[in-house]
Amino acid sequence: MGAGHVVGRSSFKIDSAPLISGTARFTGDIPVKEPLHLAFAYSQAAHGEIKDIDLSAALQVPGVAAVFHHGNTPHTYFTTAGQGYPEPSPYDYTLFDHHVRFAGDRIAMVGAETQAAARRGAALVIAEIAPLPPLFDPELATAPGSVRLHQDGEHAVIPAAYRPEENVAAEVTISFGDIEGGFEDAAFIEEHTYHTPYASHCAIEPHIVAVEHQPDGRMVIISSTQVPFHVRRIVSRLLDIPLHYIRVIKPRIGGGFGAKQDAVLEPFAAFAALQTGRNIRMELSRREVFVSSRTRNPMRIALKTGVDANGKLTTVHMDALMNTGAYATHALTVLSNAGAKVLPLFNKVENLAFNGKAVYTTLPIGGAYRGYGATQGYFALNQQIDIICRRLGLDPVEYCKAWHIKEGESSAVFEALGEGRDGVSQIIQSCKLSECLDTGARAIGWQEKRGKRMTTEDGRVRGVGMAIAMQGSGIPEIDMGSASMKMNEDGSAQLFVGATDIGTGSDTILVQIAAETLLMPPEKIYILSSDTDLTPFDVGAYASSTTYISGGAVQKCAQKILDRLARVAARMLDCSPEDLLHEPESFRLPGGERKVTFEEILYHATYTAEQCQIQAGASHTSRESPPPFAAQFAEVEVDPETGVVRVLRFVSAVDCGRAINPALAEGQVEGAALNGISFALTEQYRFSESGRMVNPSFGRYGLPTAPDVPEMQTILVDSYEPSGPFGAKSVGEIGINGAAPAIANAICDAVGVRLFDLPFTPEAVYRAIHGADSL
Amino acid sequence: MGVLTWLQPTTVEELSQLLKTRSLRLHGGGTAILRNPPENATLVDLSRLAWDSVEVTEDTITVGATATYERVRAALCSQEPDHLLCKALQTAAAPSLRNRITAGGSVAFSPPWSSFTGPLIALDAEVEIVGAADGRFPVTEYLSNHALHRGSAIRSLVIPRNQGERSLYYRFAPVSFSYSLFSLSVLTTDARPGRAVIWGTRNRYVALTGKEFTDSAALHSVEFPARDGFSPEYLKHVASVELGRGFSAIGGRER
Amino acid sequence: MNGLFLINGTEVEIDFPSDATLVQLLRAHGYTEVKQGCSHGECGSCIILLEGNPVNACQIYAATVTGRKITTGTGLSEFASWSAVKNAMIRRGAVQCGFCTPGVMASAVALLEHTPEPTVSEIAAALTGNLCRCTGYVKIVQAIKDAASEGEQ
Repeated sequence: MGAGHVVGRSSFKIDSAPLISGTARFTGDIPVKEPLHLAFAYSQAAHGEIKDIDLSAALQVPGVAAVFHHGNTPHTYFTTAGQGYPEPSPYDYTLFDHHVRFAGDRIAMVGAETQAAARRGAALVIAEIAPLPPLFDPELATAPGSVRLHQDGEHAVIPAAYRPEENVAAEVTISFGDIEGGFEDAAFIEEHTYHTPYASHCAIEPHIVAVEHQPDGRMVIISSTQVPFHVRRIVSRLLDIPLHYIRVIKPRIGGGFGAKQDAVLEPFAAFAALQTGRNIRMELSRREVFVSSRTRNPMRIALKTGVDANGKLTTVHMDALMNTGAYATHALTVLSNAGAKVLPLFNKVENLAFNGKAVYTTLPIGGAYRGYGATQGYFALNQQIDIICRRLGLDPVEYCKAWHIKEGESSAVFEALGEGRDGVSQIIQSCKLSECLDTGARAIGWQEKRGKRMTTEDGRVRGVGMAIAMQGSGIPEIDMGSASMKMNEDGSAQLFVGATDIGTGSDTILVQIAAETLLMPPEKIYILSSDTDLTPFDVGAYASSTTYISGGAVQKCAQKILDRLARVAARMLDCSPEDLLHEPESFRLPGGERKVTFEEILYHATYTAEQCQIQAGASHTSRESPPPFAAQFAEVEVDPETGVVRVLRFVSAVDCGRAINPALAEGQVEGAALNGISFALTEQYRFSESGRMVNPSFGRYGLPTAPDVPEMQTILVDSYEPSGPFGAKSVGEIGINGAAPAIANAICDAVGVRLFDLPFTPEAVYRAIHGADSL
Repeated sequence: MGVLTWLQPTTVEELSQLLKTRSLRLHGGGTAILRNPPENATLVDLSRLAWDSVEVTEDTITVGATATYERVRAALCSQEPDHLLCKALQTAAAPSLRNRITAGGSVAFSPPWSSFTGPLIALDAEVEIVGAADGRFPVTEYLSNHALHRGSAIRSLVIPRNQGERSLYYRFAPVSFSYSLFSLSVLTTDARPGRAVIWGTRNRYVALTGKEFTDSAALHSVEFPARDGFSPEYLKHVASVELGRGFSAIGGRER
Repeated sequence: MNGLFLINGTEVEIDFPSDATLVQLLRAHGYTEVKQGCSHGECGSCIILLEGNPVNACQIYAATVTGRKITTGTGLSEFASWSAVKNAMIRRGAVQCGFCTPGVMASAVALLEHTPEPTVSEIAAALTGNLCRCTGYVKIVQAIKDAASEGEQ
């Protein structure tokens, strides 16, 4: 599908210039009058009961004004998860607690005149903690002898499985067909267990918030958040303040990736603002972001697959154990997605079972992270497909082409697996995964390289591997976005969207969508986003919903504007709106020269006759969540003598429908892909025996910079999703899913060993090649 | 919150007086101090002493203590691109940190991830010290003799130019911008037995000479602590593999 | 304590805490484009130019750079290569969240001032200390290459 007037073109990101020149403002750049700075004090112990908190030293620090802890704060349960209401995450979190549940759990909060004083005071808070047995192994979480983390009145607010008495934060079970029979009849069975670890989003801007009191008594929260509307509601309900007293503004944000899809700081900041009457500033240090904010949920996936005599995958049993850490934010939904986003991909499977449990441990909090369970699920599934293909002597590219879900098809999984409720069935209307596979295979040199084990002069061996994925475009029947627009008399427009640009460029593509609908220059549309006072509702930046759902709302809204412009034009030209031809910034009566520009229409409407403001609003939800698809290919070079793996080339071929802005879509895929590559090879949370993270810094965590990037190629294949705005689907998450399994498959291609646990550190690869006890 | 007292001597005499009379910390580029910023301290900012020159003669490279990594790299690599130190500094830290890390500060700190001290040892470099201890000392002696640290400051480093020597520098780091787990500096000429320094071992470093590189008995002395998720055995294994490769690569004895 | 700072061509006398780092001083005086992503010299979002050379402002005590020429993100336009880099970054779509961008711009401009025709490898090396989680660095490196080629013409 070719480019339209503006959609399908890589028009310049609206905020590029101010971000480059440094004038764009992030939360920390916005002046706040005389703030009180907040800093947390944390537990060093992984598990315990606070017997006493000694604040005497903290209170003596000059500038310290207040200290909050479980003794002087309300014990109201809530969830920090930024999700629709009622949230599918259990209410197992309070502002403070006498029970600490991981090394890095908050025990108190100090307010002081400077950030340094607040941190100083926090460091001097002394808590006497009576230790409780820790729980670090999720496999032991439900064992009768294991300590329980949540036994105090924590509860779920939707009718979903929540059994804290067993340390079960969430449970999902679906099945259809005949699992036992399927395995019995299978020509062969493969059964393997895969592990994915903790990971940090590493958004370069740490979590940060400011709260300002308004003269009229309202509270303004300025926050680096992906979910401003959810934050408003969470704070309102928690602190029992009317929702309309609160305004939440998201300025520019320095990355989210899911880290900021929780109300990590806002409830604390808002509470302190209320209690002290002061404006508030709070910012986490990088160490605190690693340890005490949110992470990717580690998962263990046991995957058992049965293949029939014809090579068809007939029976799948996925058993997932998810470590949700000390609190269950996003537990049910991430767990569900490990199945819901992954299993429909091979929709000809007749017998399928997915059972998953999310369990509590005394470890950092798992939350939302790009990919959201699908990343973990795909790590397992794509390796299993590779294993099956090797056993059958088949090319996995051809195998996937043959068996993946196709246009016009559905999967029973869509309906079976929702997010805490029944899923929604859908028929795939756009799927160019086979084209992705072909294009990507050609680009990496699949035929030339696969199985060849090309060896360099110094003994390094090369291989290629592949992985496929689908994600979603919003949560069907749950996610909602809205937009409103007003036209100025010179033909320019203000566009108001709740949608949250977290660096993704949604501001830009939403303007493009509006501009395309109206056939007007995008430079004349000024967008204001994510201000709960001024912009209509949007769930926020998650679930890959912005392009598809928020974009849908913008398209609807712009269409209404167009209709209203047409009606005025018709009056001016003394005809019927249906007679008019819509041209760039104008309407024309066909067969003549009579036309009227938007500017003329708007001056007329504003000043001349039947005056009105041309404005409109619209909302959008969807019954479907049309998946983007991706095929990702890795070429690796393995040094068998050291286990060092280098990714030489990485190709992502993606079907995101029609890319509204190809450059921005590519950017999403590239950033996600590199994140997936480092997730596979170098990123690591390391813990001491007592459960403390020992490497909470960028320098020790394993993040790549420019010299580490392989040759990356991103191909957006031609596609069109009928239900999406101008044919678009979303693309924010999918790029992260394929790297780890593609690299695992490539390592296997190169040196014949398979790694089931991430990350593939040089030592792990070495031991896989030479034996666990080889050193 | 804290209070730092800044002293900024402009002459060696001023500095020597300070070194004699006060308990203080020397500040080169500040990157080592800022890893663990002191609450209250007296810091002697050496940047006003004009000790930042890099002089390259036929035999020697003389590096002032406050010359930054980048200044040394730029001066050296333009004249002697194959010099061991040029190779080492090319991949040290990042450009922005190389513009602050000073030669003297780096030697004084010599952390396990240093890109500098290992090569200096391999090169038989010397430190020139002023203060309580005065004079020129091999870097190895400076590292092991704490009497040379108290009340003294590094004035410069004197590094043999070793033209015609073949060298290799290797650092083991999973990603480019990270603290290396160990580094190897290997030097050889046809006239002299090769030598290698493995920096970052359990006892800071191990220096080996030619025939010891592939001698398993000598390599026994190469011990690492567990570090950044890698086991001591693995680190030792990679060090010995890369040592063998490195030595071969620069025309050392055949593998 | 007190000191004279030369920031983006302007001389200004500033009262500052003796233990203030340069990033703290700069941000307190309105140069909020100098970011704090880690405060450990490990992310590069605070990279500014000191006499034209990139440095991490969080790893510098303000007291040690009085009287020395400081250029922050908003002052980089004094360098000839800035305009080409800026335009290329915009054209390529190399700016996503923008938090790393002022630091990237400083590193890029410094590189092109010293090395007008860098290879891709040299560009990547110059960016070693600039962490970006959004872009995968792909379009950033492409943009700087574009800018360098444009400079050749």
